[in-house]
Amino acid sequence: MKSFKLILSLIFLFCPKKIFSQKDTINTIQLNELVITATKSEKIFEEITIPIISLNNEEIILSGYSTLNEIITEQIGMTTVQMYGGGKSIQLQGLDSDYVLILIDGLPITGRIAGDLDLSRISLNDVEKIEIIKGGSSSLYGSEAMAGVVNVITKKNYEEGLYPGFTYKYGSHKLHEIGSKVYLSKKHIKAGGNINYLRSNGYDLVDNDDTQTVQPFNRLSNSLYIEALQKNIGNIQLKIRNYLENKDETVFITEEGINPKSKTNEYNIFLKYNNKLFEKTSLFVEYYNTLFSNKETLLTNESYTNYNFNQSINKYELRLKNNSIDNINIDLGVGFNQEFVDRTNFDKKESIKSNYLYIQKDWKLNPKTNIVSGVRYDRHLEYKSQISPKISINKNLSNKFSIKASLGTGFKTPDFRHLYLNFSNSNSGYVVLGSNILNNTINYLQKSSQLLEYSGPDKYILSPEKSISLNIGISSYIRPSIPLEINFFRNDINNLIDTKVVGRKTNGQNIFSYFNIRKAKTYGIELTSNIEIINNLNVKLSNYHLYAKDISALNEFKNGLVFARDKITMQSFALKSKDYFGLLNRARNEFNINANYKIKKIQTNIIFNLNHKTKIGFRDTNGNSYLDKYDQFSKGHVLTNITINKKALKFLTFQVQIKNIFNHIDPSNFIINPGRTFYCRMILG
Amino acid sequence: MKKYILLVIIISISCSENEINILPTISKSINDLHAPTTSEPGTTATGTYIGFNLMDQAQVNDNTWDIAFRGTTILVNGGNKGDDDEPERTGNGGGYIHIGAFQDIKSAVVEEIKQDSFDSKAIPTGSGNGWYNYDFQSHTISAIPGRTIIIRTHDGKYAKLEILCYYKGCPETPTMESEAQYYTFNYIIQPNEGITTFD
Repeated sequence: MKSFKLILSLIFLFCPKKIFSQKDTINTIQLNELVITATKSEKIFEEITIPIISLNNEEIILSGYSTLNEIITEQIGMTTVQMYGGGKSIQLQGLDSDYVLILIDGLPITGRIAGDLDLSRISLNDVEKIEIIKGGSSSLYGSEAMAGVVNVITKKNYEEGLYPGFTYKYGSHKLHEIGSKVYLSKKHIKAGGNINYLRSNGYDLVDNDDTQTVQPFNRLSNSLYIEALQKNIGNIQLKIRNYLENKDETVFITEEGINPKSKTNEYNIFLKYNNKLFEKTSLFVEYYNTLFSNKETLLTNESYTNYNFNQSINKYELRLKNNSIDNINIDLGVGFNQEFVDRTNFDKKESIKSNYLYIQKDWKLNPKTNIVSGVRYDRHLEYKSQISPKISINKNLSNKFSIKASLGTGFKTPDFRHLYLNFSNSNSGYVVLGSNILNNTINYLQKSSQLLEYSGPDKYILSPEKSISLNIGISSYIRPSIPLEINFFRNDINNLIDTKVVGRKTNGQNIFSYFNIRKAKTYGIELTSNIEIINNLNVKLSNYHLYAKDISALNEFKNGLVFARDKITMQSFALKSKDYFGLLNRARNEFNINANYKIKKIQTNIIFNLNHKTKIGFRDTNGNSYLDKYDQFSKGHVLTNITINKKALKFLTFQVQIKNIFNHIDPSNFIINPGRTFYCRMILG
Repeated sequence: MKKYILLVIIISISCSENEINILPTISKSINDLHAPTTSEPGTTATGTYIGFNLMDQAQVNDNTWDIAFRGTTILVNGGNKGDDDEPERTGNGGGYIHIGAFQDIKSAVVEEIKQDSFDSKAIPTGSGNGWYNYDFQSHTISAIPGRTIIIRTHDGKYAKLEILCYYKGCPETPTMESEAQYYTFNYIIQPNEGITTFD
């Protein structure tokens, strides 16, 4: 903590002295960068109308990181959260990872565990760019894009020639990562291949127990990409990606047993075609298929217990892009989506179909004003169809000021588990039933004399969760070299799905089911400033302040219905609205320093990252089911990383990295943080 | 001033002497009352309900119980029985959950009193419905603060009761390993039949 304050004060001491003597260099860094995720077409960063973070290939390589979660958790408004079973997922602007759509090359990744997607599944080996858009984006992307979209763009654009690449990383807990890739480009054809293997022994955070906190695991990801380009025929892209993961651990099988194994196998295939139909009209056709399967086995009582989870998406999309009117781009898309889930605790394989239609208008009103508006219609057979509009604007007020504002809606259809889960806890015996199978199962329980009481509805149809999100941002360059970006955000979420007791079984245990019962809001402010303190020392300071509240909780606090108990006298006392802290698992404030120091003479880059979070409440500890100021919080903490890059030869770079220098750990709440770790990496090519 | 206070004291003493039938309220704390049940998945819960007489401040095995415990379920001695394991309701007891701090509750509201029936209980069962919350993360039961149980005893006396914990020794943060089904609670009973106040 002391060292953190020291670093802070050092940086702020530095700033005023050097700040004014520098030219505005930061602003030019991203000037020519093209962004694709905001409108599905390449667009200049400066003209994007919504809040966006774009990480380029150089930043990704210099960071020294191996997987997606490591790099995006350093971005403002994004926080790594621990998944059930220890995966690494992400929160965006205070919304849970269920509401962040994760794409690779514009196409959705599946295999969410209780709504969360493990981002450590995505290797950075072949990643060219990462784009993050914030705010409800269902108008283009449909379900899940409620908080925003993370799009991982793999390497596809390269000049004619042959480019091989090889990396090797070695680090703490016997981590080995070997990556190799090769890209070939000839006149009409491009091809790329990538293979990446990562293994680790895992680690132990608690000494006096009989299990290791994180068990050994290994991951293999590989991909193959082919693109054919013919002037008249058009452009065809084919990509196949595969991911394999093995872990000596079971998450869903909770019985006692030996030889635990978890195997994940995921593949993704896309086929994209685009061509100019007429002079000002282009056609884009996409086919996508992905399958995620996870299998756990455990030897219990001389027989194997199995757990299976399979999820798949099939997606077809056709898009027309037209710019017959000057300064206006119109996109019109239609698509078909089919998903299925087949898993343990489901009675049978279930599938959901939907169709959609969207239109988007990107209008450059004048050189300083850009307006993007769009609407999407999603037609569902299982629940109410959705209309998702969005409008956003970017206006340059002067050379020193520009504003961005966007208002959009998002939705998320109920998960398969919300509809079809039939789960019985093996330890305590409680039951969770999906809403579509609730009545049949209750009838069955009644017939077989297992039902004690039932107070649930006769029929309940879940609705999609919905949100409205607003972002207003101001970028200012008042002094030539203090670019400051401020973004206010607010998300209002309705129809949140949560469990509620509907009855009891004769074993005395509760029966839960899912209902649209909650409303929540998140709002806050993001501040970013990019400063070149001295030549070649670039520092990005950012601060993120967040309020995330459950509306019904807030009302209960207001009405004096929530109490806490004095730990000494054991007397209950009523709490007030101001005692309500908010949703679990969120820090009120997060502060980031990203420094990049380039020493040209010795071809060295030093990257320093510091992240400070204020206290976090991981669970209700005083029985009122809400997080209030009398609960036990996990203390505020600092994480610091340093990475040194040294270019030895034209095609050879060495990296040394220390993560979590001050060895902060929190074993009871956050097992995905292993404490201080060391890595070194060699990059060839 | 002093004389005035003296006068008040004398008057109040003489008053209480006049109404010799009025007994003072009884305040009591009970620790770790064990009310076990088995609840294996796929089976029916078993176990004897533990009857408790609030005036006697003790566990009883006859019809004079006011409140009975088994696992997280609480019965009152009034109304009809549910499953076969439950004791017969021979008294005219009842109860309800009052949302409010224990010490702030001045009296029972007779109109609110409910009795047990075949398919519902005066003290509602289920996480979040009655006196406890079940936490999915820690798989523990916690007594919700500010949930006071108002009871009419089998013989028509009124009491207020607050459950403090469900685990042996009342650990501050119980875990899955803590010994469950041990009730610790406070109560105040008005020993004068028909009087609803707790002062």
